[in-house]
Amino acid sequence: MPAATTQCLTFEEFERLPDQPGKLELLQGELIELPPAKLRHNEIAHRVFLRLLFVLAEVHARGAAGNLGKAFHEMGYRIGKKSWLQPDVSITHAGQESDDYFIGAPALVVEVISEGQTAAQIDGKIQDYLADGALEVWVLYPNRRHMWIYKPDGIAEQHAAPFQSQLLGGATIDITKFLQD
Amino acid sequence: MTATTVSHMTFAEFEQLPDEPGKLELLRGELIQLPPAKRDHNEIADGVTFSLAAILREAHLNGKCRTLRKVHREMGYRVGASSWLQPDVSITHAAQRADESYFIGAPALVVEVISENNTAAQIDGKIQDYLAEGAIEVWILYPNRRHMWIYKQAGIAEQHSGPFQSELLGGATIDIAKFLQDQAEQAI
Repeated sequence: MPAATTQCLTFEEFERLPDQPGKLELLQGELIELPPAKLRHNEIAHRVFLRLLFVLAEVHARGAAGNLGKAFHEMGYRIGKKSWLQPDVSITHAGQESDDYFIGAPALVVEVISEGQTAAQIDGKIQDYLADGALEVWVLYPNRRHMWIYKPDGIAEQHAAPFQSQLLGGATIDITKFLQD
Repeated sequence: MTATTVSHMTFAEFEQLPDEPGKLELLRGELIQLPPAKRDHNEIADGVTFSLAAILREAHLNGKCRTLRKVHREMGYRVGASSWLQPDVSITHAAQRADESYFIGAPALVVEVISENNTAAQIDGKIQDYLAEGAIEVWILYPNRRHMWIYKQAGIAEQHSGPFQSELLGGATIDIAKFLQDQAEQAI
């Protein structure tokens, strides 16, 4: 089932929506409804989360990446006044402001693309994350086995092989390991 | 309606499909069905076509862009063995191959105007295949956000929201705001 944008809501209206299967996000006041994530999507996102958790512990232990906080899976962020977004995996800024939710974009966002997501919604999220403080947005395309890294200066780089992440203290990121079955 | 991928087929099977409203493409054997393009989408794509045709004509008159041939709207390209893609706007290579029915390989420049029906995976797949099959640049225009991503060889992309100089088009200034103006306004 594709992602559906059904209506425009305020954040307060969005917060009062009843629980339902799948995932709900608010993007510039538009409600985005995604069907329940499939097994493969969850497995990939889980591997990314575990890898980033490990990398972050390792780089923090050697005193690097002090600007980064914690890694999360499916954490929600209030982005501006009209968005509440829940990336598959994220790393907060060190000391990131929060109330009931984290405020502003995390330092790193990872989105694992599934078949239901529209190009306009993904692009809109990239723009809003970067405009609201994200340092990098990683968009992983499992079927094509590559990842685009979008940065605030309006440049994106594609990676299909292992690479060193400057944001993560020079740690090696191997996309193929995210995609292993 | 979002773009749907209903089945796998060969190019020969794809060619035999009956006419129907909307747009059909074949991406690595997957049939992509899009509903009929809406007026706004068509007007923007027409505006891009109009701009690029004027730019290319001038560049050719000045002896530039000799590797580029012609601007097309909704032209079909056989891209690899199992894809037939139809970008909103394209510019062929000067030496673009063709058989009796279609251009062969990707054009030099592809422009896709994003509508709500396009999925992220399909757009990314097209970008990859166009670039792998000879496209020099793929421009992905997001009208709602009023910007454009330019995907290039070597796995690099750059975002533009204001006027910029296009090296591919002989240094011509590309103004995305003009793409998004009403076509009639643009002709004035």
